[in-house]
Amino acid sequence: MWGIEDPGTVFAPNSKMLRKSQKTIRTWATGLTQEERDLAYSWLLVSIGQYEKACIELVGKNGRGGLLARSKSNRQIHMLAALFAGYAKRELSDHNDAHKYLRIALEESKDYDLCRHAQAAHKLGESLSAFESVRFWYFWPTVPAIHPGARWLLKAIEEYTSISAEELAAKQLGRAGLGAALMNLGQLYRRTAAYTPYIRSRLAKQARKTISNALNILMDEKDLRVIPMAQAALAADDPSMTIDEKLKQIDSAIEYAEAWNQDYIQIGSAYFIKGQVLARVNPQASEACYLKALSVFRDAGMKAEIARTKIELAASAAYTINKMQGSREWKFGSSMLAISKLILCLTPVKPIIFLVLIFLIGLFILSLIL
Amino acid sequence: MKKWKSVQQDIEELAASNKLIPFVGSAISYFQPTNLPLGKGLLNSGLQGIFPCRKLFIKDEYKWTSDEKEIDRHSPEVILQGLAEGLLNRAKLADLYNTMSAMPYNSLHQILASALLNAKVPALFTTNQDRCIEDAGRGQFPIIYDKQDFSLGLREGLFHFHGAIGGASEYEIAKRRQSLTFTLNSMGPHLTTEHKVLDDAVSNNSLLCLGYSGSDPDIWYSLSEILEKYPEATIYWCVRGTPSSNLIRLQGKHPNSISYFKET
Repeated sequence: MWGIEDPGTVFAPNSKMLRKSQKTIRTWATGLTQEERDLAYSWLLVSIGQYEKACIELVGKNGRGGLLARSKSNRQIHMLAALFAGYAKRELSDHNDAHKYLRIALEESKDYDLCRHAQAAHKLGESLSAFESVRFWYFWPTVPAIHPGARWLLKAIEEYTSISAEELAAKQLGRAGLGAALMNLGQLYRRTAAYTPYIRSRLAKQARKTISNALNILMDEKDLRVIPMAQAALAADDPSMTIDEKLKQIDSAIEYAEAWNQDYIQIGSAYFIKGQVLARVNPQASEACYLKALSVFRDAGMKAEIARTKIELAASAAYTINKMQGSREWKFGSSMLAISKLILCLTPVKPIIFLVLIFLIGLFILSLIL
Repeated sequence: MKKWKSVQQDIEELAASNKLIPFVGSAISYFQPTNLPLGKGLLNSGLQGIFPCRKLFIKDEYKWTSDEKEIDRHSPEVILQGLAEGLLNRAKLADLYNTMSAMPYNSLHQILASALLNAKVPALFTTNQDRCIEDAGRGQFPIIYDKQDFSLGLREGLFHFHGAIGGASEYEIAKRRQSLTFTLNSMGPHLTTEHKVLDDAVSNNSLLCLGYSGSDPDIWYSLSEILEKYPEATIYWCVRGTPSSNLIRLQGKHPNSISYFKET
């Protein structure tokens, strides 16, 4: 085609040739200790969402035999094993254990490695801001004195700010850096504003500002894989955007998360945000998005995210039922079921006692109406 | 999927008018005597190198065990990202690519190098980090691999979109090492400085993709954006077997701009 002599047939390698080249490639990882390999393996498991397996590698079964116990004489490995274990436990919504390991990481990194200290503080803040940690007085994340999650996140942000960009880049860890911490803080504000609708417009505005700031820093930090998700979160709450513009942005975040990022939390969260945006305009499509988010979170065993999605689903069901055609009695019965489900998700009372209670209250209200 | 015969005339006309830029991927380096394993095969060897005792993830070269679906579900870039973050010395991962420096070039590399040397193509694009085309060209054309060089725009030379290995001096070895792009974070959802080069190539020339699956998010999103901007542009894509899911998605978005065909 280019006037170049025909090279004839090109041959694929046989298995012996392939084995030889594989052997050459395998030589790359020389000079690593067994502990370093175990640490890399554990983090690899965390990074692809195999949190249970990672915990077994790091803390062993019943807290014995893991890398954490084996590495007590090596401060760096011990610190990182504790940090990785805290990270994995947080993803599994096992917050008590997450706090335990993150505090070990905080202790080990104190006056030794500021970047790892900031990452441990960041994850502790994230864990303390998780949905199931929420108490009534936590609805003021802008007052760090009463919100431990916000307090630790702000501490992490302060520490990250004092670390050089080169060091941060060299020690980058999945969703743990200045941009990611600001993003978590913004998400915390956003979530709180969503739970207190119509009365927290200033907090919602602050959430948008914080996430927008996080987006710029993520770009600078080259933490590029989370950018589509940050853009989607920003678009979802942007009052200047139309629904179609918001959905376009969120759909591109879903596409990136599914096809490239392949991270459970990112995929589930993208569908969750789409469910929120569609809630008032297309309740059935919104429900489908929540169901998709739920199945993703279930696959990863993310208890907090599962609970949050169930609440949104129950609330969405109650709203959808009222918009559908049907008798008043049918609507009433179905709404009661949805509301009971919603309250069940929010309270730790045994389900059967609670259902009986709701049934009796329902009967009482029905008798008043009729 | 089209057959080679149906696109042959178009491609030959473009080649004759020096308007065809080959974009080559890892499958080019699979053939003898280079013998580099493809995608997951390369990753498999890398994982066996660091976790030799675990016998993990992969049963044999191209078949991944069914009980490790989680690993199978993830792309090499996601796994390499996790591997890099878990290593105390993450620059160490560049050594994985440096093991390719001694691989000999094959006749396909030679043809591509000759085409560039004889000014039959305006430039050559690759995502491969190996130095096979460079070696086949015996240093007679410029090698563009870092952002600064990319910022000078499209010109004659071999463009390594994901960096290159090798180097003649200590300084160049370090610079090339720095340019290696193989994790999801470093790729990001869009090309940066390199985007302009790709834009120029698609708008003023045509791309001919050879041995490339299109499974790099930065290239994928940039190509998608460029094809949206120039709907009349065409990318010819030579496919061996079934196209990758990413290529199918790209073609689905731009059905009139991506023309894929079988090699025979």
